[in-house]
Amino acid sequence: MIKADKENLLLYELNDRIDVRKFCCEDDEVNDYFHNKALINNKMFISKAYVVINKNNNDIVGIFTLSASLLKLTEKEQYGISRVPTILLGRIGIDNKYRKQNLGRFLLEQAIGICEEVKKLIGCRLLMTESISGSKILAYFKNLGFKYETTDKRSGKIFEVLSFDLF
Amino acid sequence: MENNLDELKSQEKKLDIKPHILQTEEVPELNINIDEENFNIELDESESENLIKRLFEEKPDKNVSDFKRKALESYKKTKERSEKFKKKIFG
Repeated sequence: MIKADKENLLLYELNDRIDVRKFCCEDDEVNDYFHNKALINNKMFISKAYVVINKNNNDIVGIFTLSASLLKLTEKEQYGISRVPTILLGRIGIDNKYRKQNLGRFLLEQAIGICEEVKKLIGCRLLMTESISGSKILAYFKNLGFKYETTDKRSGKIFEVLSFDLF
Repeated sequence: MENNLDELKSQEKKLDIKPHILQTEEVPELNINIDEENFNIELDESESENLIKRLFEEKPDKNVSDFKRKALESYKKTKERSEKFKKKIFG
């Protein structure tokens, strides 16, 4: 394990000068996405991947993606809206060398900081994410102020959808 | 389609979906992997009402405001530092 001092962590949008193949977290699907798909999705403006780098050794400490999304509502006349513009925190991972240091919180802080900048330019009210029902991550997010919105069932799994109010 | 729904309902019953109670020092590893293409969420009537009430009528939650303030401070510092070290990192 490598100890990361938060004062040494840097945040950049993923670009082709960053060798993302060095990154390895415990989720193979997250690794596969960042190794093979993240850069092209960045270039095509489908989803933006951000990397947190340790300035002492240029290691990629963590990685996350943000993309525009929508939360559909059952139509209501009261406020004249049938959907809420949101930002989706789609993927997040901490490199195995940097685990057990609560760096997930640091990554979330950066994601929320970016959302704060975005919301000055375009309407977006919620930061959304989801995880498998009953998982520890959900409890962690809720402790930070994320709220339960709904349950989604797909691919034989049950997910809890959470939101963080950017107001 | 109907069979799939029945299967999901039966799986839901079997699964333990009790909320996990987080212990004080316990920090789970954050790994999330959502396929954006499949993330298509629609709230039902009562969920929609709850959300609209929260967004339009309630004061912001103190936990959210506190975390957002800390997040912004952290982000601003990181952004400044990242600009400063851009040359060192990318040459």
